[in-house]
Amino acid sequence: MANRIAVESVTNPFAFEPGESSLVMFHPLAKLAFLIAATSSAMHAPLGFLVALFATGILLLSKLPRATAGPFFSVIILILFAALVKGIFPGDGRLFNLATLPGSAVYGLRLLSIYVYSRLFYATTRVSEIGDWMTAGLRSLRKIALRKDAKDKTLPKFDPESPPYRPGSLDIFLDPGMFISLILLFLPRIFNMYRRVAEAAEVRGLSISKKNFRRALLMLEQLISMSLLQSWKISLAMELRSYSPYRSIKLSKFKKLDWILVGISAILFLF
Amino acid sequence: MAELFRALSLSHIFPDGVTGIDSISLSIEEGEFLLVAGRNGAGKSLLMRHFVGLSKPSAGEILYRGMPIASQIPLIRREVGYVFQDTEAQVFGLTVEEDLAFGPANLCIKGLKLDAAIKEALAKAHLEGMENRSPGTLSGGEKRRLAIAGVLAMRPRCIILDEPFANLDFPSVQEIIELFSALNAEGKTLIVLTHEIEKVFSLSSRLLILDQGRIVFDGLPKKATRELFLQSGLVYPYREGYPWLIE
Repeated sequence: MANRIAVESVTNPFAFEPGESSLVMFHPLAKLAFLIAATSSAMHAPLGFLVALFATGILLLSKLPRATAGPFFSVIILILFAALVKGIFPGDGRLFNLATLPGSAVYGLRLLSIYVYSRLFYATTRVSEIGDWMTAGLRSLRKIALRKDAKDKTLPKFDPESPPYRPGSLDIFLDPGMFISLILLFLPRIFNMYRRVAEAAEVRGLSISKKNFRRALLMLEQLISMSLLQSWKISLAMELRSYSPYRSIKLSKFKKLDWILVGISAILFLF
Repeated sequence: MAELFRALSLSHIFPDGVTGIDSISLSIEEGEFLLVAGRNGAGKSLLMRHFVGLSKPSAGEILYRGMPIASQIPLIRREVGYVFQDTEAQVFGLTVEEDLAFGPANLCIKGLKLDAAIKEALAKAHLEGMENRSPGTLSGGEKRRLAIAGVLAMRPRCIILDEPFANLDFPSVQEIIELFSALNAEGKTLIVLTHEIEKVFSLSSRLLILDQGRIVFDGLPKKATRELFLQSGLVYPYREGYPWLIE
């Protein structure tokens, strides 16, 4: 099981793993506002403030149950690569321009800060809550449209007590929250499928490390067919559990603390 | 007891001409613990797909509470739960709690009623304390119990379980058996499709054995003979059926 957890942790940076983090008590929209502000600030703030922002983020990240080391190191590798590209062959005969390193380091710190705050957001927020707010917003817009067009009887009437059951209808587009949940559900599953296909190929002597277009194509074909089969099974399971785009949604309310966080976000955004 | 399902001369022929189900007629009553057994490809899952309206019969008809199922689909979705063999496909919440809320939320249950339905399902499936866990981090047995709990949260009258013991270790099998026993004692109709009949043989009130899309036995489990089990590719679920057991 430990191996499975490690794999999921590496492949799913969106996983909800609040641990002991107190950020979980904040409203998802307040946290989203903070994430936007922190991202904006990380890209423009002077070095001193950036270091403080990064240190705060790391402190908050330490409250999560397990550090998501895999993606973290991927970001560091990306930064090193960016630094290399920036400084290599400056055109004056040298191999590398050392003068670009401080700038690259600051740029790297900015990227790492964004990663840290994004991870904090996803680890302490059920992304489906954001999706549910989107669904609720769309429903409100639809209600307004229906009121304006009350005489048009072709539009279905929204009745939460007896939702219209119309499998196969385009009503699913009224539920963007479900789209988001399904995408986030599928991402780690596709990674796991890829791992399974790659391992199955490896044990049969088809190494994916060797460059071979035909082998890659075979694996891709297998991966696509597995993904399609999985999505078909999921759609059946959703139908059997009465999926309806008119499902009830649970929206958390804004508290005083959330408004304080929004205030901090506004200050951060202006900084 | 009230009748839930009735199949009338139900047949299913695949496009390539192979017969999946061959003129099956049967009735299932409320509160039954029906064990549907048969070797792989006997038609167990296909028969149940017809019962929940996922497949269309080539001939014959299925009634749910006396009405043709085509007109009863929304009612069947509310009252009949279906647990797949592949639980991975059935669990689609990002957390355990979200997954359990999926079914009741689709029935527009909300607020305290929704919380109560989730809590009840968690307790029945012994998943308390795992509400915030990602389903991907659960063990095989826990995932199977989550899939069952997801169905239980909708408070169905009848639950159909397709190969519920597949790929489970002994403690997980025991937990599932205990869960079945408790659910049946509550009055829920259970339909278990499996070829591992020895695991629920003693719990079931009725045994249905299928072979090549036909019913070869329908009755009290203890009435089935050793020859019948062997001919149908099943283990004889008594001690003599396990000659390799250490005395």
